[in-house]
Amino acid sequence: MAWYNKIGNDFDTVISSRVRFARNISGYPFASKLSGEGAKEIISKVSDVYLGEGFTKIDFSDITNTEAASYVEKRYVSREFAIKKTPHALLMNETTGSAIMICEEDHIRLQSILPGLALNEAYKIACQYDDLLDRALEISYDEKLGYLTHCPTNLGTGMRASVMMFLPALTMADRIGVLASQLSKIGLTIRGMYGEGSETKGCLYQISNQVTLGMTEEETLKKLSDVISQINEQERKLRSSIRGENLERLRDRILRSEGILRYAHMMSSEELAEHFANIRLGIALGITANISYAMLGNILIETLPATLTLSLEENPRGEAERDRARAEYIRKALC
Amino acid sequence: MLCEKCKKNNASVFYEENINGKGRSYALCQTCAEELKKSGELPSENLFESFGFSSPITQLHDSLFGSLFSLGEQSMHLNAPKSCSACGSTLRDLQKNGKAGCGECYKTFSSELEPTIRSIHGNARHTGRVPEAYREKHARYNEIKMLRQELKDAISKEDFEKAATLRDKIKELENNK
Ligand SMILES: [Zn+2]
Ligand SMILES: [Zn+2]
Repeated sequence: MAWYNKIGNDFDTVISSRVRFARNISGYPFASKLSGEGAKEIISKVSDVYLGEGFTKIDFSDITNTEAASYVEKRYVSREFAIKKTPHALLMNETTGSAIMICEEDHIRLQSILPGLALNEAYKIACQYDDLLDRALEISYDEKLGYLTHCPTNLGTGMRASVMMFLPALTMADRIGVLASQLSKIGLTIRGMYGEGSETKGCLYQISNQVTLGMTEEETLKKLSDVISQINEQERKLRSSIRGENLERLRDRILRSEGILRYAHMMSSEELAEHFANIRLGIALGITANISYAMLGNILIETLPATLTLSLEENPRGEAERDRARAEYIRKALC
Repeated sequence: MLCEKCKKNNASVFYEENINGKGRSYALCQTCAEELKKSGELPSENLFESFGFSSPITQLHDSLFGSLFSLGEQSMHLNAPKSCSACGSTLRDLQKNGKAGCGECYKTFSSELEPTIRSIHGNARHTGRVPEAYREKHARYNEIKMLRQELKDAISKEDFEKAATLRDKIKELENNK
């Protein structure tokens, strides 16, 4: 089962946790100077390390754009990786929520993603796979600068830890901007999940560390966890402060969203993002009792354009057809 | 939080930055975001909605990150142009890409890169996970550092017998490379 079909700790406010290591192999130049031959060598060397460990290899030169885009939607690979022209491959182990991008910006981007708040668990899994790599290949490293990475912003631990949070109350109260400036002062960043302004309708935000040099992995995770629990507290406090007429309005909005999802015949992903946020909040507040987090999480990912297209027998012609297919998927998933 | 472009309006549009794994976000006001969309610097629709992945957001990134290596520029004019013996990159290449060409580049251009790295991470030395091959060396580095401190203490207390033993120990560790 994939990460988005499972539920986890603090699931009312946290969607998922992810830990990523950037690593490079000694003796090869970084991506911008790497030849096609070099890339192929690296892909085969890294694959050899993991193929006995429950990983499946996906050669990105062999798959369609839609398939590549679906991996982006499921958060297993970056957009840059999906569109790369030079040889690159993905190693996937859905059981442990691990995805290893080979020849992305760095030779190796090893990541582990788990549902809910599970930073330490994700870190442990990533370390376990990092150890395998370390034993098999010589990793580019410097005693002062730590793991050497293509971009100097990742030097040191090469670790990026991030938590995807669901913050509807803080969004409604217009507190995200303030939060963003507070976080940047302590070396953390927050960004809207899919980037676009309209996507903040989904109230999904990713919070991650910015500094990678001079701080151990554990210290970084601790700092991030502490901040997450503070944000959790703020979000929950705001949610429980909604009372009286405001609560009635909110209840109306949430149940209207449920009605629309159950009966609509056309649904854009933008519109879905809004209903997703309403219903997810509804579940947390006990208003939408017939829909579970798992159902909703599954709908969110499975109806993203590329992933949805892959599930259809025939490629949808244009957006309208896709919107119809999306609505149909949702109706079926909810009955 | 103010918009990063006009620095006047409040930012309401936040752009993710997982593009190159560099942890940064961009905050823009609605007006500036619209403008960048029109000029093609930002995608006009949800990136996840288009399979093309033309990703115009990268351009914005490049322009924002182009300044990453700007601090190295002055020294480049003073020195004869040098290049990395492993990958052939010059400092100009590094500036242009905002990235190193290979692991050796960090040694070759260590003095030129130092201010840049300091501006990103502060004046720091790596701590945390260490590859197995370096673990012994790392432990030895820490032990020598500790013994040197002990030696200093012993000398200040005029415990010359202890100081002599410590000196031998340090020498042994240092020779044991
Ligand atoms: Zn502006
Ligand atoms: Zn180099």
